[in-house]
Amino acid sequence: MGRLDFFDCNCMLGEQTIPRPYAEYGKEGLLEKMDYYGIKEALVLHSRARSYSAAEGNRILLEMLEGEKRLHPCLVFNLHNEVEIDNPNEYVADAVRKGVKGFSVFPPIAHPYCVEDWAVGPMFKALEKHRLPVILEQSDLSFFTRFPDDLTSSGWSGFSPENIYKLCKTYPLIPFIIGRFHFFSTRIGVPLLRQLHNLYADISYYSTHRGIEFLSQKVGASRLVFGTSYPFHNPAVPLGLVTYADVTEAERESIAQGNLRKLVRGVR
Amino acid sequence: MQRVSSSIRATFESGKPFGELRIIDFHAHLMPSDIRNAYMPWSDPEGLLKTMDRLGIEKACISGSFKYGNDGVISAIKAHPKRFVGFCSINTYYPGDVSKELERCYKNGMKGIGELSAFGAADSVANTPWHTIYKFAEEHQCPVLIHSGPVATAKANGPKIIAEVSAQYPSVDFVIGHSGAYDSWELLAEAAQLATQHKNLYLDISSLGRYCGMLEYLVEHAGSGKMVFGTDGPYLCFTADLANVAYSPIRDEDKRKILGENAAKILGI
Repeated sequence: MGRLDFFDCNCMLGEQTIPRPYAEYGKEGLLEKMDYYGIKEALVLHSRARSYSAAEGNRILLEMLEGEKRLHPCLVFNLHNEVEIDNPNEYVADAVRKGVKGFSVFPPIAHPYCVEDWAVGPMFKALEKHRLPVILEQSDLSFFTRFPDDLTSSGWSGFSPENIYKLCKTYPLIPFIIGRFHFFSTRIGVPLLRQLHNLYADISYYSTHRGIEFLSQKVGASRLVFGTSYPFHNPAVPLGLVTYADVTEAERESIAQGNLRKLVRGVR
Repeated sequence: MQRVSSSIRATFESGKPFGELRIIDFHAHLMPSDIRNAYMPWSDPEGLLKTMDRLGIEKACISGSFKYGNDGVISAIKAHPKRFVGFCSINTYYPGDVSKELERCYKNGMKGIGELSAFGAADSVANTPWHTIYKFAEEHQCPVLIHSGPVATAKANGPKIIAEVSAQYPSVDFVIGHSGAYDSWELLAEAAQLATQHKNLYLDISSLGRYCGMLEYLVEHAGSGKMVFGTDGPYLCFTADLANVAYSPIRDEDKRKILGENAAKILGI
């Protein structure tokens, strides 16, 4: 096996509400960590965009990553955003001009939501036009439906399998990625991935026994993307899962970086 | 982050099985693939052995569940005596059956007890029926592995109460499952401190791969001599916690102790 290049689909910059020991929150620290683990590139969002203000966090992220070759910005948007983003087409086109390679969407935690086209259509149609990958964070299929440092109580769960199915069917040109696909979600994840050609799984937490090999056989290695979920998660684990998976070398390479690179290159 | 020169990391990155290095998984299971909560691919003995061979894991200590699960473990250790070490599962809600089941498992070749879990709000590892288990372990000199965590159940199975029990049976080696740190740095710190105070108390590192830095913390605060490698496989792939050890910025000397040398001493193999 030759040395693999890894491209991380899911990591985060910026302070956490409850800081984790041994984790890095700044750009230099993240790059140092990536060097340590041998990760070449990463799609990265800013914690402030997740837990405070999408606009402010996204602005900080774009400033931090200006001129940076290895870290690619992933902006956050609120699922229901018509009251704050007047023109999603302009907003998304501007983001693409600034080098944005993906978006991450979090369900609200203090009011109800839905994924019907009448409620979320303008933004998703704009993203679809540019073929931007969208990471579905906090889905019911994810390792945790709320981040461990998220202190806000919630009566609502994450994106449901029905939500994921509807989004993928309604916006078929958007590559959707299930963030932190949970090894407990295999039973519902397999039929979803089989039926939805534009759905992918971030394998950062998919650490069940021979899970990568199993999913590669069931849904195809082309649907799996390497992720670390850093700083919540230890990058060593997904690196090991890919390195020792009993798959072909071509499949291993595609999971490590090829699949995500293809999605990112598809942005137009 | 300071990179420490490590031939163990280099081997791991090559994706090849470890050869000379002794790797003993002190915390694994034998479970059907189709349990209700999580599908676990290829979790039969042959499926586990394939992964162990791919990684170079010499032996795995496996446990099932009370009675029926123990039957499966007995079959596996009889079929593969050099690769699997049997650990006996007990449910203390059936106190009349505890001694009988321990005897049956021991006579059929099991070498340890665990992973024991406290079930339900009223249970605790210090409750009376549990002492039947500890006395058996004392008599037969078997190590005892106890699940520890999450924080919500710390009074019943946290590091502190396991340490209290271990103090009552100083000739038995007790291993705190997951180092108590399923979801908590505070319990990890508590477990590390207690391991330094109790000679017969050890820390299983399974599942710690989820967090950055926990392994370094334990080496620094408890010492690598008190840590044993575990994977919780096949819930988790054996690869996950092996990756954690391989990539950790600790010395190979410490990695060797954690991965196999300490477990070999505890198991007397």
